[in-house]
Amino acid sequence: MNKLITNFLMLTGLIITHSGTALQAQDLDKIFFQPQTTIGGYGELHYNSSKPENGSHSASLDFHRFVLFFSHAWSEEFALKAELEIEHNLIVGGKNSGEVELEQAYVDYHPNHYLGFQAGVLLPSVGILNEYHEPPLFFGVERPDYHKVIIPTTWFGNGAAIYGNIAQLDYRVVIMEGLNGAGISAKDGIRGGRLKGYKADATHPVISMSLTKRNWLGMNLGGSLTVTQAPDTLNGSPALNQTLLSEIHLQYARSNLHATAEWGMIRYDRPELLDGISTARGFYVDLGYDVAPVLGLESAIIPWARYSDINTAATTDGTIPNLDQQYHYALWQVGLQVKPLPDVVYKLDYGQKTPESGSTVTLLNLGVGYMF
Amino acid sequence: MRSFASIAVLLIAGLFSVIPHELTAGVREDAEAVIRQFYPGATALHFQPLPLDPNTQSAAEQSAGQAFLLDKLFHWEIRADEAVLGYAVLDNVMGKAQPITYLVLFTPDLKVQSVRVIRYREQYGGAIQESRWLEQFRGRDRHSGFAPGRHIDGISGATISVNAISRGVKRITVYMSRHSNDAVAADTE
Repeated sequence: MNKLITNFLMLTGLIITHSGTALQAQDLDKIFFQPQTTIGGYGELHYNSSKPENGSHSASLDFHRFVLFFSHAWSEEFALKAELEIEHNLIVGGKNSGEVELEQAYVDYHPNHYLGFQAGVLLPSVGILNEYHEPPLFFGVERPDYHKVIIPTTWFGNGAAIYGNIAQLDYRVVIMEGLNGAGISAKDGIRGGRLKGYKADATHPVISMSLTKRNWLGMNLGGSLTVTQAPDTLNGSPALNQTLLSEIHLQYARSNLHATAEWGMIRYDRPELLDGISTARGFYVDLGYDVAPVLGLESAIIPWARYSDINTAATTDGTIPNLDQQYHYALWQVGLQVKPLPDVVYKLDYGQKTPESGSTVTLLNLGVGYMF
Repeated sequence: MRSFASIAVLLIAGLFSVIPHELTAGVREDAEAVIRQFYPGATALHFQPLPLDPNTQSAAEQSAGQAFLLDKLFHWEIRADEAVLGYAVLDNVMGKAQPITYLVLFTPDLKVQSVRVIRYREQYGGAIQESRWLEQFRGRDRHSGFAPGRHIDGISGATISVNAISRGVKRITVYMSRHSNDAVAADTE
């Protein structure tokens, strides 16, 4: 009879044996997940040298960023993610000082893969680097110029987000504090309009929507739209400048080849609030190749080249003549990235920045960075 | 302002009441479901948490550049009657802030048959769960390269998870190889 039952079980399914263990399923779940606090971080030291064609040489040494990342997982679904940053070594207050920034501090609710919820200090998913900007992850000592004046990396603020993955497509919708229209400028785009969470104005929030396809033929392909009504004044009266940032990006990494391309545009619907500027736009392209395998080395050694083209006054109404030429420049860079470990990087790059009107500037940067 | 507040209230109230939780059993049940998928002819799964052998552990950790998070090897021997079809190991590696629970399936000669992520708890980096990416580990053994960006394709936005899983699979593969079939069999008896 027993044999009959055994044969029946073998035919209809599988006998699961528990050899020498009394571990219950719940015990195993507790072994594989326990509430815990973790610490991570990243940092980068920079040497920046700059020499205008008709000007004097300047150079600086700067521990640009020292960042500590804290996380606490209360359960498999609820976790705190926080990032505290010191910029430029020293904080004494005032304009000529470093900064302490609470760049992230949010409660993440992640009950399933297709819909999660976050609230706190967040980074909108805009471009490749705003969320993933640890030094080993990008070429160059400094982040690309594109990520200063087209996408104001690191852009963080107080708000909430929903996110998830549907049909192998990552999506994220963020609603967060607005931009200060008076801080938007011809030189730096919307960078100066960030409120950085400090008693931030929530009357006109930023809404950002992004879609990313990851790991498709070795590529990541994504894009985002970010819109807000940025409060400003015109002739002493309040005015809103609708600001729309649209961008697409692509990253490829396979067979030792690394390629990145990003393109973005900011459209302002009230040019009269900004010297007549109605659009800013820019792009860059990176190409790098890891030569270490050819040399039989374990470390990653990646020579790379980048071309950037930026115009923070790409379209104007002509209020100020030649503004589009004044804020247009091209930047060629070549560099070397050496990673003895995946999380440690030594960097060197050389570049020439050529404004459409003005003299060429030669740049030389050295750096070391890490993440953990 | 009112609309911002309304959206926030709706989001918070709505999300917690309507978001369904991932329908999963325990990690063991989920792992065994994957094993059955890969070995439909299996008639028995012998599950055994094995204490790590210190020497083998040290060699595997050194080779992979990654420490074991758990103090046991959660191991299955997969059989069809008397024949061993393969082995499976359930393990954790650390993502950016949360552990990732993954399963490595081995052929009887200890080549990687498949890798599956059983629990991914992080917000970012979920692309490593895609079978297309995990397929890269198939056929690798202790002598193979596991370096992300060189032997294993990287995924932008999932760098930490890619590094963690790649090293984890290497660590388990080296451990299993050094801990010979006979030793594993002896331990399970």
